[in-house]
Amino acid sequence: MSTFDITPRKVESVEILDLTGELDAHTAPVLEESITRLIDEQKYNIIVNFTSLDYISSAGLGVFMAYIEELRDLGGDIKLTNMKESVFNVFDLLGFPALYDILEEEQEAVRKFLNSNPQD
Amino acid sequence: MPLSDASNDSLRSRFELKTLLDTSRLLIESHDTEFILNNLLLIIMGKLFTPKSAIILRDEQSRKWQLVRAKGRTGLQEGCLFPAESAAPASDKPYFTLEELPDDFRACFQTSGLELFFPIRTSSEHLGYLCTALKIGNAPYSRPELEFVENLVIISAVALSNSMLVNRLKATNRELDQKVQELNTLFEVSREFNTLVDRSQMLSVFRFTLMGQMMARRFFFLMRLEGQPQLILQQGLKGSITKAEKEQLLAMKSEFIRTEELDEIPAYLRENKIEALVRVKFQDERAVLGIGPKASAQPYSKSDINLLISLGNLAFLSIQKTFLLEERIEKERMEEELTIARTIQNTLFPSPLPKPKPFDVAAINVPSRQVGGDYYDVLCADDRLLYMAIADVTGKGIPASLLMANLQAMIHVLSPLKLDLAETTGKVNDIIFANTPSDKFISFFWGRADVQTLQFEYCNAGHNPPVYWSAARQETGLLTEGGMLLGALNTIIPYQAGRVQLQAGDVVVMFTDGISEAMNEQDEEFGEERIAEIVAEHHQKTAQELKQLILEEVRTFCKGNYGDDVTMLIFKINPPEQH
Repeated sequence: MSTFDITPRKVESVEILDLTGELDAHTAPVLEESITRLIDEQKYNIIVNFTSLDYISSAGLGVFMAYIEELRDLGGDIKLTNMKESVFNVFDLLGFPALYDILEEEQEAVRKFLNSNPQD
Repeated sequence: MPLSDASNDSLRSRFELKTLLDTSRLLIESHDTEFILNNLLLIIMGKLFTPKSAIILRDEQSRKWQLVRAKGRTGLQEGCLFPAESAAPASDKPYFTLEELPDDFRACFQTSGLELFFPIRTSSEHLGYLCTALKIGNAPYSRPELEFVENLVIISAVALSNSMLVNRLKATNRELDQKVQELNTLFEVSREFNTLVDRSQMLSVFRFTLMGQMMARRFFFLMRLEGQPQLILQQGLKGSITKAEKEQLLAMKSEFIRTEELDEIPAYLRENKIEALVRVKFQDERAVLGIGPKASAQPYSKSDINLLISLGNLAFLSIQKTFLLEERIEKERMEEELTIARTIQNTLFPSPLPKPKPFDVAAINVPSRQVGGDYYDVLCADDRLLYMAIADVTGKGIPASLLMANLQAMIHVLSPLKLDLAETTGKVNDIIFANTPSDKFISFFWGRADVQTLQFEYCNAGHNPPVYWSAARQETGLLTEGGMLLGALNTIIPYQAGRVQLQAGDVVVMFTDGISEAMNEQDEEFGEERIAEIVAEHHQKTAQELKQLILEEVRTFCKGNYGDDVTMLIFKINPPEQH
């Protein structure tokens, strides 16, 4: 059975989700729940930090597809950071870099959010 | 002092050699095709003072020649393909003039101004050409200039061949990675589908996988449920689709079709920009997966389509499985309930059978299904009164057994009160009539015997008349006195009671229509006559022996194909015991 965990944090006005373990069809609903909760709380600037994520399957990627449009319509975004090479490879193979802001470092993503929303 | 011509030549050739070496190192060390092509042209143009140059390579896939790089005004578009089949004259000359090339190839370059074509060759392959125009001012190239280009082309051929190989390897690797990724996805989905039994969780896995794997935001899954085409999964879709359109989709002929190829595009598909339709089939059942564009705006590749077909098949079979599983669970639950009902019903039959002297009693009940509607009872109201009853409720299964339980309760409450038998039958009829639907009846026979006086009083409410063997008269008769079936009408005409003075050797056989109406292969019924004959012939046997005998005869008669519940209640009066 795969293990997966999410720890939410906040850096300035940006919500950060630290993922640990394996994100697959089995655990995707857990991430979905976290993201929908942030949207319900009107927190639209989200960074997902992949530092401790070991594996992702296409169903895991599906969660990001499900909410990116809505978040951008609401003026927010999901930025993805600190991926291991094997994890990035899956995003790359499925063509995600064309649509998503995938960054090396979390700080960079935070800076981008703060620069685009100076009022926060 | 001026340098001699000879030393000048040697200096120049040394300089050229150095350029050649530097260039070759630069080119060979780079595995970047673009870089190699670009540099090659720049060096040539700088060296030869030519205003135009180009590189033509053989395109692996189309097997045609392609202009991959051009500098200067050639009038040719980079990337354009030349229709020419063969471009290589059978010669190992280091270069060809335009005139020396095959006609169809030459035609492509007639107005380009490119005049010299240096074949780029490795030992095994002809990769393409490096083409140049003449020098500015149309002066001819010198021998050393041509030799320089020849040498450069030989070196570049190796570099180019290597870089193209590296590119091909990279592309192949990526294709392999993609295949592995697809297999992972299929593996994961099938694993999840196998372990899940909950349909909504299954659809959620399917939904995430389609979104992640295909980068698709809009899709639907259509399948037939209980005869009706239904969208069991919809993602990001607006509007509605008519039943006729759903049927049209389910009837699609090919395994895959692009929406634009449909003769008539339903508005639902057009408005939601559904791009492709995949049909899956298992036996006669079909399902259709419709999917919108990829968010990356890429078209669906052959590989994507194959994967969609596999995913669609997996989802289809797994979802069908959940319905079958639900049916089975429901069936098992009902069977379990029937078993419980049967257990309860069994406790309603008397056990052990009361056998007050001189009465010898035997009984049997074999329901044709798990629970039946037949009933018999034997109970002692006190030391003297013995009640015996047999009944057949219309129908079978739970409804019949409920009604039977109801009747049993009434008899057990009423018997100890020793009321008038006919009048009590009327009361029971009124209650049954009030409590049951109009299509439910009970045929019922009961009797009350005084074990001392051997007076037997009975009332037959529409039941098969029991066979009575009179030892005194040495003949059989039928116990018919009574009235109509219970539960058909209110008691308007009172029931009548019949009375018989029993004596030693008398036999009464009560039975239900499972015995009398058992059929043989000629569709003949066993009938009361046969029962009466058996009783007349074997009246001296015990109640138990008689019961067995009749059962045997019936079984032989119908070859074990009982159509109904089989119930029998027999009593016999034993002679007074000798002390």
